[in-house]
Amino acid sequence: MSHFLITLGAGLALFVVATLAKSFLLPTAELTVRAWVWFLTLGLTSEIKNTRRLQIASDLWEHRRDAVAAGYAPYQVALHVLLRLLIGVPSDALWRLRHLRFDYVLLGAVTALAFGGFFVSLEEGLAVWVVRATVAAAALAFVACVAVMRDVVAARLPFRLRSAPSSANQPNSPDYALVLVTALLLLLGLVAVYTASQPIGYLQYGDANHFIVRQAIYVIVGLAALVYFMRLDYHELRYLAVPLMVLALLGLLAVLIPGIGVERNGARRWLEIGPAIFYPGEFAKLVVIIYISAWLVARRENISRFTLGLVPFALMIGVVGGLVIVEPDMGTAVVIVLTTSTLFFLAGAPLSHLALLIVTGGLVSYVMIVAQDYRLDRIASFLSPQTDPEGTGFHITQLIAALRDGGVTGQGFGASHQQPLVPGAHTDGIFAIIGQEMGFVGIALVMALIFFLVYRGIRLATAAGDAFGSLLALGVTSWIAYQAIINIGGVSGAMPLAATSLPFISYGGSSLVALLAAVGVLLSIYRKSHSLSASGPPAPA
Amino acid sequence: MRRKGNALLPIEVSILQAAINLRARNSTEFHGFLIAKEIKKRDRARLLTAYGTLYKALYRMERAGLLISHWEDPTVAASEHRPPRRLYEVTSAGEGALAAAARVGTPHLPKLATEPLPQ
Repeated sequence: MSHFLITLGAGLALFVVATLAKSFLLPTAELTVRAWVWFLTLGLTSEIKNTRRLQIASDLWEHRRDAVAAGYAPYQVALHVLLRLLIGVPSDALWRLRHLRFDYVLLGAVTALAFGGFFVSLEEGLAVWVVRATVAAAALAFVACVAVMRDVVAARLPFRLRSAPSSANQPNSPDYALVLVTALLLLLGLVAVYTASQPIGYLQYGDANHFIVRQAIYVIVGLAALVYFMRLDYHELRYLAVPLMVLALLGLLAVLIPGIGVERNGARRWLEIGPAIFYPGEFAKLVVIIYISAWLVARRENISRFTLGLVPFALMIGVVGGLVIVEPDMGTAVVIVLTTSTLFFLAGAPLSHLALLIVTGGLVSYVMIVAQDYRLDRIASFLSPQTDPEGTGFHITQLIAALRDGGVTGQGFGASHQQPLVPGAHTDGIFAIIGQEMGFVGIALVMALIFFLVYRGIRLATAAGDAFGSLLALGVTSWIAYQAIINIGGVSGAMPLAATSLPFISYGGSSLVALLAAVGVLLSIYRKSHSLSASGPPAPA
Repeated sequence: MRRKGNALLPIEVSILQAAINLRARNSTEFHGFLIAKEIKKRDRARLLTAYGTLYKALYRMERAGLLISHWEDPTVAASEHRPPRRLYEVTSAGEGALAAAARVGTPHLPKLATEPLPQ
């Protein structure tokens, strides 16, 4: 009897639920569609967002009225509505991708990971994983931004370069946000170099302030370069591209000549002129960006052609990259190839050509790696650092230990006891020292500042008045982004160590001066784009 | 489906053809649901065009100049107690694109090669 009553009760309950559900099926289906569209249009401009939302609302209303008039049951209409939604999801996703707001992607990735990282880093050891996840997310977000920017840049390429407006029309104010971010990074870098280099300076030169004094001088020289390039009309760089490239190639060739090039630790990369020693490879990064941007603008009709587009591009990059690799400096070569390939893609090169470049680059990288034992050791230590922690895995083991030991707020400035043991503490490994001394707060601040600088560079590229400006801005931004990703990724063990400096932070005069000059170029583009907007958009060719 | 060169996509052909058919019945302007219903009737489909497919295509076609659109008078919608409609109209460029597609002849326009466009 009890079983019968239970069964009867369950049946009645199901009947009631089904009856109620039928009444609510259609409203639920419509609500689902509205919720999907609301989510899909988040972050879009008001016009596009409201248009889509109101269109869907109208469609739903019309569909319901029409279906009821035709005698369809509500559940049938609900099913129809849901099917229309589900079948259209891929198209919706592609449509939304077209309207990707790169700033939301960047900021969203950073914010989500920063919050997540703050909490998980409370547990010892997970800060490293947070940094790795952040690097991976940043790399993906940057690639997404590059994909979105391709349409922006390619659409500008038919525009003829307009002559520069007179200097009387130029505003005097620079991009203060960019200036502020750069200044904060320089300040952070000076503090980090000061604390990281004291033991090494004392041990090697008997002077704890040996490196910080030099870094301060490099900052002053770099700021002078920044001001110079900021005041220069960036359009002039288009005409200086060839002589600058010749100079860069001569510099890269000169370092390879015994007696002229300075050799340190088995690498011949530097030139000595009087008391100054500088690395031409760092300046080559900026020069190559200028040259390739000018070349892409001049060759816009031929970019998609194999013999007139891909082949000369690959030859140019091959020559520059090859001169850098033989120094040897694979890290710089990788940054140059990545940056210039990004520009090539942005200018509208077919994806098949890009795929060919990637495959060729991969093969060359493989050959270069297996040709040198130390490169193989870096791969081995990346894959399994604990296999030989005193040997091949020593570098990465010490870096990760330093990064991990900082916890949330770090051990305090100068308190790092790892400095004599962390190779390149004041250069390539400085990110780990920041992690140890300033904790997760410090490394999050560094990453946030670099992210913001990259975001600002991309914004600047969209506002630039012509394709050359857009490509220059994106080239500089890509350089900074890739170099930061490779450095932080290597230090945190997310990718093999590649001996690249952390932009604006690591000790190194050539890198700092070249980067600040590049920021000066960005500021010049900003000044021009704002004087352009005051006088109207450029006329199409 | 990927676009080949400047060729119209099947959904675009369907929208333009359905719009021309509506215009032949004195409906010079159409909204999203109306065109979806016309496409369903013309193609004898079981379902109306999906939201994502339809509105993405309308957006794209408007940007390409094949359609123009405007919001209807809000007092009209209010008087009928319904949401306002976004009304579309085929432009001369849209008519030209459809005619060009008909001349080339696609699997989606078998009849247009022989039937003149309604005026």
